Amino acid sequence: MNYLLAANIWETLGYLWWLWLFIVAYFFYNWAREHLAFSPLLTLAVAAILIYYLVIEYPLVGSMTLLGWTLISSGILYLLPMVLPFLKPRK
Amino acid sequence: MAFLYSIFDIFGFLSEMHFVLQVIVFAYILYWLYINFRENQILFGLSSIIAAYFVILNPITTTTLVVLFVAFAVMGMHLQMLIQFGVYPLFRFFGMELEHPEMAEQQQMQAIEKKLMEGKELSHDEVKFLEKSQQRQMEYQKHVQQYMRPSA
Repeated sequence: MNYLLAANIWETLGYLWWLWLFIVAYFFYNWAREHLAFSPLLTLAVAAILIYYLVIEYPLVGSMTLLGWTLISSGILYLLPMVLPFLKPRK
Repeated sequence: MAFLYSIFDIFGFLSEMHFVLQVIVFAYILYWLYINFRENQILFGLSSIIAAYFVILNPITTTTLVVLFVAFAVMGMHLQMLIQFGVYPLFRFFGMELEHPEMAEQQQMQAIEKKLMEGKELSHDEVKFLEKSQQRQMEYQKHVQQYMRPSA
């Protein structure tokens, strides 16, 4: 029973990993589409290069790119100094 | 040294990442050129070719310039907000003051004023600071009076 459960968890994580890779690939494709809107062919070429290197060959680098960009551009860092004082133990 | 080539292939990784970065930089330059020269296709074409020459012949310089441009010109406002409202408060939270020296002076003055209002004794350093700032104030007043004096 435990074995089956564990296998299922790994399988689920595997699916989630593929889903994440798809999201990262879409992020790079979207970047190429936004920046090279004047040429569909160039968009495909640049997106292919980015996805080949940053999703297929080095997925961790691509993931860190997406996470770092989200961290910088979302405003999560503004929130940290607001949230942290609530976590500080009172004297 | 050889294991760097064999096991982790760090140099291979770096060269591939460099190529990817160059592609991103070239795409970004093209984007910028298209925004500026979209009315004139000949200008856009010629400037793209020149940009490609720059990216191929001077990759490190071009990459550095584009990265600096994106960081300080495109994301500059965002970077400033991030430092002012994200990083500074975090430093303050961890007990590190990263204020401007003039701000520190103001804060010290406020602390001294508070102490005086509460009737507490000032320390030697604080008295020195007060004397110095009063002296500066007097000099300033003298300058102002000199300036305000009606000319004969």
